[in-house]
Amino acid sequence: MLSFTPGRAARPFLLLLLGVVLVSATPALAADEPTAEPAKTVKLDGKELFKTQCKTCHGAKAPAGEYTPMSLIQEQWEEHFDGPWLEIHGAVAAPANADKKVSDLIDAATLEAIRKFCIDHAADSEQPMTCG
Amino acid sequence: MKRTALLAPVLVITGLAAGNSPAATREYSHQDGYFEHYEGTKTCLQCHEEEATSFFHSQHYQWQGETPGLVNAGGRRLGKLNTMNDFCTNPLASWIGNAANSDGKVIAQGCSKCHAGLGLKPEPTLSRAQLENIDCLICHASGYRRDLYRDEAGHWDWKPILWQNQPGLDSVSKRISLPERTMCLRCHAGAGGGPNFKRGDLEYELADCSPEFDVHMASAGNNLHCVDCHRGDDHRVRGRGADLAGTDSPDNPLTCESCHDARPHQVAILDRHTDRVNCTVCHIPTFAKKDPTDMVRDWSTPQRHDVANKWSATITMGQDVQPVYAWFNGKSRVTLMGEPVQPGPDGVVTLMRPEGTRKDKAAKIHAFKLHRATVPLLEDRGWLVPLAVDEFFVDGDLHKAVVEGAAAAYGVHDAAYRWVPVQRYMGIFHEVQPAAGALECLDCHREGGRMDWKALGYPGDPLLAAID
Ligand code: HEC
Ligand code: HEC
Ligand code: HEC
Ligand code: HEC
Ligand code: HEC
Ligand code: HEC
Ligand code: HEC
Ligand code: HEC
Repeated sequence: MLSFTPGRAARPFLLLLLGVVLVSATPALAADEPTAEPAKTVKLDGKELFKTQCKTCHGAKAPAGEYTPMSLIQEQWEEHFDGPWLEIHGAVAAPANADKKVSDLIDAATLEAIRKFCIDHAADSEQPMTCG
Repeated sequence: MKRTALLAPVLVITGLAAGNSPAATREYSHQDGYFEHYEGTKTCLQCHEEEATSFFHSQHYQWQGETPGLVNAGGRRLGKLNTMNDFCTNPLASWIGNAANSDGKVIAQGCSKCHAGLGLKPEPTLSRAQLENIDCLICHASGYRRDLYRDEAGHWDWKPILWQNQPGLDSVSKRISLPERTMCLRCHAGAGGGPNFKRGDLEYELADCSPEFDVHMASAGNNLHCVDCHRGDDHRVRGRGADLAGTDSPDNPLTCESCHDARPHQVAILDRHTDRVNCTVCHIPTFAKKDPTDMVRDWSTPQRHDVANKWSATITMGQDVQPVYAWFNGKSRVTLMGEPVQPGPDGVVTLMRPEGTRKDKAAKIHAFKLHRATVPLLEDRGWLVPLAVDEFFVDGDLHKAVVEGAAAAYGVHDAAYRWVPVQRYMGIFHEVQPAAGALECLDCHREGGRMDWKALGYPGDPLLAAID
C-alpha cells in the first residue's frame, strides 16, 4: 500500500499518486443481476379476488363478520385456510349465485391467490392492508 | 486497538443474526408465560416499571431534553415539542386526529404519529397515566402495527390494529426483542410526511439492503441494527446529529470513531485528512439512493393533488443527492420560536446552522443535506409561525392554517404575517459505502470538484499549495 509523508522530496510522488488514482478510477461495475423472469402463468390478482369473492359477505358490519387481510395475523390466516375455511364455506350458500356453496364457486387457484394476498398483507406483515 | 475491543460485541450480535432476522431465530421467554393476555402497556409495567420510567424521561418520550449541543439555548430544555422545523413545523397545532378528504380517505393523523405514546401529549411530571401512555411495542415487538381510533366520547387513541383480535394481539405482543431496524424505521423513515422525506439517509430500504447501499446495515453483510450504534443506557439513545435541539446522551456521544480508529487507513495521506475532514465526507458520496428526499418545501404556494384529493406545500424532491460541505465543531446555532429571526445577508433565515470555521481546531468539514423552505413569519415580532398542517391538507386554506398556528403557538389572534425563506443543515451519517466506494482524490482536488475551497476558508486547493 502507498504510504508516505509528503515534504519537499515527496512532491513528485504526490503527482505520481494522482496519476495512479486517475488510471485506477474505473467506474464500479454494476451488479450482474440475472434478468430471466420466471415462467409466466396466468396471474391472479389476490386483492381483486378478495374484493369480489370475500368482501361480498365480509364487508363492514357484515353479519358474517368483517374481515380484511389485516384482521388476522399470518399464522391465523394459515390455520384458517388449512381447515376451517372449507368447513365453514362448504356449509354456506351464496344467494346471489344460485345458492351454490361458496366453496364450490371458488376454485383452488383462486383460493390460493386469495390466501397469498391475505398472508402477505396480514396484520403482522410488512404491509398490512384493508384491501380498500 | 480500540476498534477491535469495541467491535467485538457488535460482531457477536451480528453473527447470531446473520442471514435471518433475530425474530426468526430466537426463542423469546416472553412467549412462555411472562403474561397471558396483552392488555396494554400495563401488562409490561408489571415487570418493567423501571424501564418505563427511564423511557418516560427520554428525548423520545418528552420531545424535550438537555441542549449542550446548542450555543444559544441558554440551558433551556428543547426538542420537537417547543422548536419549529421546516417540514411539518411544530406539533402544537396538529397533535392527533384523523384528517379525511372529501372521499373519506384519511390523509393525515397528526404529529403524534411519530411519538412513542398512545395519544396523550407528554407531560414533564411522571404519573400512572403517562407511564401507561408509553407504546413499548412500537420499538420492541416485530409485526406490531397501530392505527388511530376514536372512542364514543370523540377521544382519539393509537391502538394496535389487532385490538379486536385478542389471540392475534397476544401473539404479536409476545414477539419481544431489542429494537430491530424495521422498528426504528417505522418512525424515522416516514418522518416529514412521506418515505425518506426528512433525513434523506434514513430510508425503508435500510431494513433489508445491500452492502453497496449501506455497508453497516446490509442484511447479507455486517447486518448492524440501529441500536448497535445508537444503544445507550436507560433508554437514552446516543447521537443527536447536527440539527436536533435536545440530546438524550450528552455524556455518551456517538461518532464514527466510537468504533473505528481516528486514523483507520493504510494510506498515510488519507489519514492526514481525518483531522479536518469527517469520515462521512468521503464515505457517503450521495444519499437518498432509493426513495427521493424533500429538498425544498415551499409552504407559501399550496399544491393541489387531484388523484389523492388533498393539498400540500410545494415540495421539490431530490434523489441520489450529493451532500453540501460545511465546518462543524459539534455545536449548532438554532433559531427559536418566540425570538426575532436574524436573516443572513441573502435574506435567508438559518433554522439550524453548524458552528465552526477552518480556524477552529475542533471543527471538521462534514457532509450535510441542506434543506430549504418558505415559512410564515409574524409581522411585528419577527417570530416563526408553525402551521396547522392537517386541516390545510384537507381544505387547502393556507391563511387559516397560519392563523391557527399563530394562535396555538403564541395565543396571537388574526395574526399578520409574511413569508420568509429558511434553511437547515442536517448531518448525513447513514448509507456509508464500502471502502471501494469512497471519494477519490480528484473528486475534491480538481477544478469544479466537490469542495468550494473559498467558502470553506482556503485561499485555493490545498493540494496545489502543497505542491508549490
Ligand atoms: C356467501 C357469503 C360468504 C362468502 C362469499 C365468504 N364467506 Fe367467509 N364466512 C361466511 C359465513 C356465513 C361465515 C361464518 C360466520 C360465523 O361463524 O358467524 C364465514 C366465516 C369466515 C371466517 C371466520 C372463520 C372463523 O374461524 O371464525 C373467515 C376468516 C372467512 N369467512 C373468510 C372468508 C374468505 C377469505 C372468503 C373469500 C375467499 C370468504 N370468507 C367468503 C360467509 C361467506
Ligand atoms: C412477568 C414479567 C414480565 C412481563 C409481564 C414482561 N416482561 Fe419483558 N422481560 C422480563 C424479564 C425477566 C426479562 C429479562 C430476560 C428475558 O429477556 O427474558 C425481560 C426482558 C425484556 C426486554 C429485553 C429483551 C432483550 O432481548 O434483551 C424487553 C425489550 C422487554 N422485556 C419488553 C417487554 C414488553 C414490551 C412487555 C409488555 C408487552 C414485557 N417485556 C412484559 C419480564 C417480563
Ligand atoms: C414512535 C416514533 C419513533 C420510533 C419508533 C423511534 N424514534 Fe427515534 N426519534 C423520534 C422522534 C420524533 C425524535 C426527535 C425527538 C426530538 O427531537 O424532540 C427522535 C430522535 C432520535 C434520535 C436523536 C436523539 C437525540 O438525543 O436528539 C436518535 C439517535 C433516534 N431517534 C434513534 C432511534 C432509534 C435507534 C430507534 C429504534 C430503537 C428509534 N429512534 C425509534 C421518533 C421515533
Ligand atoms: C423509541 C423506542 C423504544 C420504546 C418506545 C421503548 N424502548 Fe425499551 N429499549 C429501546 C432501546 C433502544 C433499548 C436498548 C438499550 C437502552 O437504551 O436501554 C431498549 C431496551 C429495553 C429493555 C432492556 C434493558 C436492558 O438493560 O437490557 C427493556 C426491558 C425495555 N427496553 C423495555 C421497554 C418497555 C417496558 C417499554 C415501554 C414502557 C419500552 N422499552 C419502550 C427502545 C425503546
Ligand atoms: C454504523 C453506525 C450507525 C447505524 C447502524 C445507524 N446510525 Fe444513526 N447515526 C450514526 C451516527 C454516527 C450519527 C451522528 C451522531 C452525532 O453526530 O451525534 C447518527 C445519527 C442519527 C440520528 C440523528 C439525526 C441525524 O442527524 O441523522 C438519527 C435519528 C439516527 N441516527 C437514526 C438511526 C436509525 C433509525 C438507524 C437504523 C435504521 C440508524 N440510525 C443506524 C450512526 C449509525
Ligand atoms: C457500532 C460501531 C460502528 C460505528 C459507530 C461505525 N462503524 Fe463503520 N463499521 C463497523 C463494522 C462492524 C464494520 C464492518 C467490519 C469492518 O469492515 O471493519 C464497519 C465497516 C465500515 C466501512 C467499510 C470498510 C470496508 O472494508 O469496506 C466503512 C467505510 C465504515 N465502516 C465507515 C464508518 C463511518 C463513516 C462511520 C460513521 C458514520 C462508521 N463507520 C461508524 C462498525 C461501526
Ligand atoms: C479524504 C477521504 C477520506 C476520509 C476523510 C476518510 N476516508 Fe476512509 N477511506 C477513504 C478511501 C479512498 C478508502 C479506500 C482506501 C483503499 O482502498 O485502500 C478508505 C478506506 C476506509 C476503510 C477500509 C480500511 C482499509 O484500509 O481498507 C475504513 C474502515 C475507513 N476508510 C473508515 C474511515 C473512517 C472511520 C474515517 C474517519 C475517521 C475515514 N475513513 C475517513 C477515504 C477517506
Ligand atoms: C472529500 C474531499 C477530499 C478528498 C476525496 C481528498 N482530499 Fe485532500 N484535502 C481535502 C481538504 C479539505 C484538505 C485540507 C485539509 C486541511 O485543512 O488540513 C486537503 C488537503 C490535501 C493536501 C494538503 C495537505 C496535506 O496533508 O499535505 C494534500 C497533499 C491532499 N489533500 C492530497 C489528497 C490526495 C492524494 C487524496 C486522494 C488519496 C485526497 N487529498 C483526497 C479534501 C479532500
